[in-house]
Amino acid sequence: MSMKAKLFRALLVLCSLLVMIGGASAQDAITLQFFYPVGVAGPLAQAIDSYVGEFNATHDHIQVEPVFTGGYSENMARATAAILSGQPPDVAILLGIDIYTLIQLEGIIPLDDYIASENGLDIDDFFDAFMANNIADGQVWSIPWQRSTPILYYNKDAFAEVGLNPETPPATWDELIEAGKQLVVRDGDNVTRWGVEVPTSFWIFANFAIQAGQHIGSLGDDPCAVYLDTPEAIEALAFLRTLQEEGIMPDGANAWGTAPADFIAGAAAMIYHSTGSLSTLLANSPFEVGTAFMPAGEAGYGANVGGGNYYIMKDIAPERQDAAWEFIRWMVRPEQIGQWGIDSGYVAPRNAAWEVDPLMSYAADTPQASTARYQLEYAVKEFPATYGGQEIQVITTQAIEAVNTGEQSPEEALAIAQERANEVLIQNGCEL
Amino acid sequence: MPNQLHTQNEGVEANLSLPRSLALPAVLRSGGAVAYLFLLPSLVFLAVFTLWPILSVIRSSFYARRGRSQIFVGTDNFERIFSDPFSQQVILNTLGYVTLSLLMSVFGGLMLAILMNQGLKNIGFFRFPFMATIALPMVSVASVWLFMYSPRVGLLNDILGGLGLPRSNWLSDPDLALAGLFVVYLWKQLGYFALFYLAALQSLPDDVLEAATLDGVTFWQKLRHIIWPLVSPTTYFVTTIGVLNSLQQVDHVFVLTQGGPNNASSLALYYVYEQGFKWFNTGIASAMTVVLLAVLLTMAILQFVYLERRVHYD
Repeated sequence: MSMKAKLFRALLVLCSLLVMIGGASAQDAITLQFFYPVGVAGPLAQAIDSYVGEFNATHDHIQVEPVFTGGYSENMARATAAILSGQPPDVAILLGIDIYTLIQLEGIIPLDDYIASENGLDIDDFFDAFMANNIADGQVWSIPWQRSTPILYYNKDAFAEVGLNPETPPATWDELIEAGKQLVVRDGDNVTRWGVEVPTSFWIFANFAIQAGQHIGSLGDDPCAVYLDTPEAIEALAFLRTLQEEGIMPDGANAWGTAPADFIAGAAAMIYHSTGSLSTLLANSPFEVGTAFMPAGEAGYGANVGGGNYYIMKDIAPERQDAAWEFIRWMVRPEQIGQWGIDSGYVAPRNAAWEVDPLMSYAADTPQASTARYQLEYAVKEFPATYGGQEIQVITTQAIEAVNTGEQSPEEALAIAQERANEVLIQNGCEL
Repeated sequence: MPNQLHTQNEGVEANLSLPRSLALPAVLRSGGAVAYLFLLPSLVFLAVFTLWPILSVIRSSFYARRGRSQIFVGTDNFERIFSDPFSQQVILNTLGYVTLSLLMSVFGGLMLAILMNQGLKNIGFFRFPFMATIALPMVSVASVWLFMYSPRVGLLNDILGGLGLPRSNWLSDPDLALAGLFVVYLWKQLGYFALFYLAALQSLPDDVLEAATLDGVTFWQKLRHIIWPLVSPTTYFVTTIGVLNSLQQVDHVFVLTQGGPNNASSLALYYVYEQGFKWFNTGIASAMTVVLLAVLLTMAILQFVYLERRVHYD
């Protein structure tokens, strides 16, 4: 045998060996595809990547491949496309309110068997308000992860500067207007500091309706319920317009991402925003940041929960579903989800997380971190947990835009929105 | 050595004569068959990437998705598009946007080209900024404009404020948002259309224009009776490209307004994206695509039949 032929054989053997090794390890370890969105300001993708890295390092047989999919709506669009094409990810963080859409798509599985199994989860340890959007047809379909409510952020230095007590933020709508008026700073015709900035968003608007006495979404298990044209919803939207007419909130539509930037820059003394923005606001504001419950309306305090949960997909092999459950269980361990609460600002959604470190000591040092947790007492199921929810979100936000830009009256805008929402529900098989 | 060379040459000759034995059979040689054979690759690509998608989008415009299933709904999707005030607004927005962009690309482009065609010293210095914007990606352009339009830290409001004029919340004002998008589009694309006109102007016969000048013809008369007819092939080209261009650009809608506020700045392509790829209302998205397709086809036919006849190529 010539030298060349020998070398060739040796290479051939080596190659087949490599193929066998590669094949063997691929068989042993399950690689899970994990879709996740980032919905608030801050370096949250790095945090998720580092948790997943730790999980992978401690698990030989499961490797998780995190896929950042953009904001919530892009994330849902990608998941929907993947489900419809029969190539879903294995596990995904999706909005709690998308539960009915995902069930309708036959994209997800109920998790009750996993929860009750030997490697289960103490589901009663999770806060009720954060479980409200996770249950349909009496079954649990998702596990809370990046959960939040909006809270009121206020600039304590600005309060002190205009003679307001920094320790008593506005507690009612009337007090909000009073404080707002005092906090506005004008330079000629131009306002250099606004009293309050409420982002033009269905998610924030829903809180005002609850405070006025009637939730715009279902409180129970009804995927066909939207209550946009109720007197309470109209009153809530009229109040938002009042804030603009009183000259304490910027006119026109206010972008979700602009509010934190304006707050940090001192251009807005108070903002309504997700508790998920807490870490960013605390780290970047050159003044003392106060947090408070959203001020109460006629019906008292009220909050619309929000955020994303872990879902396991349907069209994948059972052993992949098992592996996905193991991953979820690891991520929502009290210490782990507590760390996530610190890194992000999201409300750790289970009691146990608040009773162990790191969150226990963090909450003791940073009282702002507990505001949203205590506000949960007044929190209800998130709107719009319906069929076609992604579309109804936009329809609702458009109605608020129409009023915030002075185009339409609250009655008009909400009547149109209700009609359009009904149309979407009917298209999705609801009988109204 | 010479011997070897000879055999090699023979080999080459043998190879060269090979095609004769492999030549096409008489049937294929006779008529259009060869042509079809050569066209086949393009036909396959056209069929797979253009024709089939068109047929499938027409088919799906008669269906509605519910969960994973598609339900036949007849012409419901079209009726919804034409009766829903929000999609009506999208259609009107698009028509206005395209018409305005057509006018601006022709008249604005020509005017800009005439300015850039002046025999000034260092004219390249003045031409450069208008040409540079063509090379920029729309996403980056829109992101820069986002800051210019920003209500509290933006350049536009800073200038207005500095002059003591009232500031404006440009993109969240329903009366200004679409115009705001159009300004960005124009800023980016006007140089592109001017470029074609500049090329056309530079190939105009100098003697005719000089003769006209000597005869005391005014600038407007020259423009109307000499330049305009002579650049008509370019105008024909610019109208076609201008319409397509304005319909295709959607990046700035994403970055600047997402169709808002309250749908005021939504354009057809953005509507298709939202319906089709955000909410998976594939039927509605397909129906709007079919409408767009029909409009474009009609325009293409009109341009062929009507405009081409009036174009001077000489």
